[in-house]
Amino acid sequence: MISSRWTPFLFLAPALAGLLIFRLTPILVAVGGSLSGVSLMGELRYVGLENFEYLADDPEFWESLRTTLYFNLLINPIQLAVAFALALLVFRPLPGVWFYRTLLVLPMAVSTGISAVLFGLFLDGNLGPMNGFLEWIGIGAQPFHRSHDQALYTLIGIATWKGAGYWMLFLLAGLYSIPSTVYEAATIDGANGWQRFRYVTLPLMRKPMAFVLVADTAINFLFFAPVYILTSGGPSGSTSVLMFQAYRAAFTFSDIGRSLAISTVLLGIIAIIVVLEFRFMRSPEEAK
Amino acid sequence: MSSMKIDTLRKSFGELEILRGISLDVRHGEFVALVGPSGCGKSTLLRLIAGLEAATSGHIFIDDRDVTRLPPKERDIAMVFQNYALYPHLTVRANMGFSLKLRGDAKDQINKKVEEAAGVLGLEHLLDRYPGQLSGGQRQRVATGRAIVRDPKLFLFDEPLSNLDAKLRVQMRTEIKALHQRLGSTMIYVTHDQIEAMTLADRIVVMQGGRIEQEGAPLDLYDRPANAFVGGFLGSPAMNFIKGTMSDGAVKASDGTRLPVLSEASALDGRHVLWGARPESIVPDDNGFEGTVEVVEPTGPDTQLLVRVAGDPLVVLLRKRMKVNAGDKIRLGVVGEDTHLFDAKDGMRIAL
Amino acid sequence: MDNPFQKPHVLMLRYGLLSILAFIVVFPLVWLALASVRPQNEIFQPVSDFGWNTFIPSRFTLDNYRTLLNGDFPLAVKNSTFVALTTVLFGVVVNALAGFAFAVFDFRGKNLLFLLVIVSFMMPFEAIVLPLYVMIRAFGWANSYQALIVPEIANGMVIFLFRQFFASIPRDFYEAARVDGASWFYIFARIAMPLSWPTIATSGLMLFLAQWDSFFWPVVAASDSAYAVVQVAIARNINFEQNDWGGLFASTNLAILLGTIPFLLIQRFYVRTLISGGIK
Repeated sequence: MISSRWTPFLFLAPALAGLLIFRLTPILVAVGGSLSGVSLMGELRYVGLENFEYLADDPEFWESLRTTLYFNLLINPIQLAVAFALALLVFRPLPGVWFYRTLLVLPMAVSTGISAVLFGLFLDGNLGPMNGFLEWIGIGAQPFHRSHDQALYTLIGIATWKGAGYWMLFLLAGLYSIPSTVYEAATIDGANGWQRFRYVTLPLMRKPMAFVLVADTAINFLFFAPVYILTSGGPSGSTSVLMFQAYRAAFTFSDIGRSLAISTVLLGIIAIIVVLEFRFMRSPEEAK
Repeated sequence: MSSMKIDTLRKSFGELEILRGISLDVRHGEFVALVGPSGCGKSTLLRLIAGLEAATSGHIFIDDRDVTRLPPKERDIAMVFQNYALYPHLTVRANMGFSLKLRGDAKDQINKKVEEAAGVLGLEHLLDRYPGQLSGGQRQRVATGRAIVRDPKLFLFDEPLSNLDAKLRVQMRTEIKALHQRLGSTMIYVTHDQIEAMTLADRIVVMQGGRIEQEGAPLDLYDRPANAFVGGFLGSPAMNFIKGTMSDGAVKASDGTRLPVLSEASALDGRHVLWGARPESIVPDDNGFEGTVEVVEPTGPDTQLLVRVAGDPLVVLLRKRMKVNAGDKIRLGVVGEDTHLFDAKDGMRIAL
Repeated sequence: MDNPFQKPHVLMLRYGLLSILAFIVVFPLVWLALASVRPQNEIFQPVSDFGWNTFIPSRFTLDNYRTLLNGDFPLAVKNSTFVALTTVLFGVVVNALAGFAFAVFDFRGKNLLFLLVIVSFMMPFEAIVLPLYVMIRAFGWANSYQALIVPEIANGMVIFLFRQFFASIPRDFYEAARVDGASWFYIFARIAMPLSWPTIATSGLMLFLAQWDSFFWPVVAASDSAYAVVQVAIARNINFEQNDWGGLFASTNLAILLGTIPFLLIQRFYVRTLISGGIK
């Protein structure tokens, strides 16, 4: 049916070029660049694993890796749990539930950067109401993102505020895909509410939950905007996640090699996560 | 085995009234079929009996116990769903044993009962498979097995064969009938297929618009329908109806054709009626009423004719071969007692 | 999972929880909107003064918005809008072409290339921001519109959407046109595209939002104030601006409002796709 062998490729060319150049090539640049350095003379040369060796010897890198892992260990399960709870609350028909669902999903309209600014103001001691409220109920004003102890948790809170509604939608899709007759059969078999949840809902939600967990983790490993805007990695490096380290290496220290080395590490982690994501999405549905 | 009694059951969803006062008595071990067109409320009635919906008013009794306000768990009933509703993540064995596990039965007890039920239904070799790996018919059997294992007071079936292809449906129908004979349990079976109802039931309940039109043994309903609706619902091809007026003990159709009524009926002269006759009861009769053949459909053993009588189409089913062509004039009569008279206004049977 | 014998207090518990959660979620946004219309001298809300005044301004004023007009903000809005609209224009065309190819043609390597498309949108963009910056700098595109627009034109998700749509058109349509002598490009431009206007609208809005909300890439690639987009401009201000808090409130609120409009337009689509296609 095709007049020329090349027609399909002509159609594909601009988009494919875009993807190859601006999505695929950067991966190669990251790996290649991490293996190079800039000499004092300003020329590019191959330095092997030198950049990685520097990273391995750098306590700041390990600290950052630790912070990133800790951050992810907390935020991903928390976001999953919150999103799941919201999905359960919003799932069963209820007059006016669409209204609540729209409200819960509203933070999706706010970009990551703006949400950081928003909370920067909201949690500020002089500009926002949060501390006033805390004083009023007796807990006392908190430094939030300005404190070494609270900064990371504050960021987790902000990211959860923004993301909960989004992931809730995915989990809602999973909930809707369970046929209501299966619940009815369970009711007739004698299951009460908790038993229906434990024996029907949870097992059948394993796949959607796994997907959300993995996809969310991939995004959270690259967490950047609120760190840049609110904490600059501090106070005292308590929020210095890997992506911020990579950014600073490039823009504050002009150490492109180091920046790309960290990027490569991140890419490696993301690649593993994406492969996992694929496995979950493509797994043969033996039990549906 | 149980008796079940329903007393003036009503169900409304908001403004919409689905069941308008249903009363029914079911005896121990009976197989009762609830039939009717879509929207008649039969599924809703079944769900009310199961406890999946709450009645708006009225009472349901199982074994003389008022279960109207009780959840399904406490009614001791089992249900087979139209789409089987098997637990997709559990094996066939686990599916069938689920209710017993919830009850807290011992594991070997559960296995014993599951294997027994599997034996009855021929599922032994499938016990470790998942529903996704089974065919429609197999899933249906697993759903039935899940119900059997519970040994309930009442079996409820919600159009269990609707999702199967025609051939499988016929086969499963026989299996269900055999199952009832074997277990002797009380079964309530919802279907929109009147053949299923006729062949399976001890008693049929015909419903329409949220009310019971008639209930009784299948052949009773077939031979003596209480109204035109029941007459036209049971039987395939359906009963023929022609409007007319009573005159001199026969029905006079709009163009004057006189249709026979096989009983004394002169007292009804002048009344507007609906004349009914089943296709298989109409035969060629040289002294009968006249019509024009429009379509001839030889099926092999039978010949089905579409005859126009008094402007209305009449379906005739002859249990033999007959040489006749479209356009021929034909004279017909009715065999046996099988003419029915219904009031033209409300469709109710006119007793003769 | 509906329980017809549900006790009423469970229902009230649900409403209660939902109300609290919805309030927590929406409150910061409402607060910001109110704060942005306060007079400048009421901006500071010292901790000790907590009360109704904290939330309700003594009077409503658009002064903060007016001062925005005199600063950098209009430029930032112009930049964001220009970048976003240009991306939509090119993006829709380029990705639709590719989606069409995947839907309609059979060619060697089709599955492999489509896999590349899928992988491209499963991998978060942020992962390659820094190496991409190195590349852009090498092209000489740092701090320019091209840097912001070009890398965002090819979009795996949009290709996927167009492919789904074009594949859903019965083949007979295409074959009839071919028999009539139409070229593939003609079929694409005059037949397929006009039919696909819902997909065009959704993709356009998606691309617009992606660009409008984009922060990391613009901060890295075009941080010069001449090219700063709204996200960057506002983020800047929270760190550096010491006297125009009112302007900061106003600009943030505006950015949210402007971003919410396209979001509301396609949120039905998001919800519907996620709920129906969900984890596929």
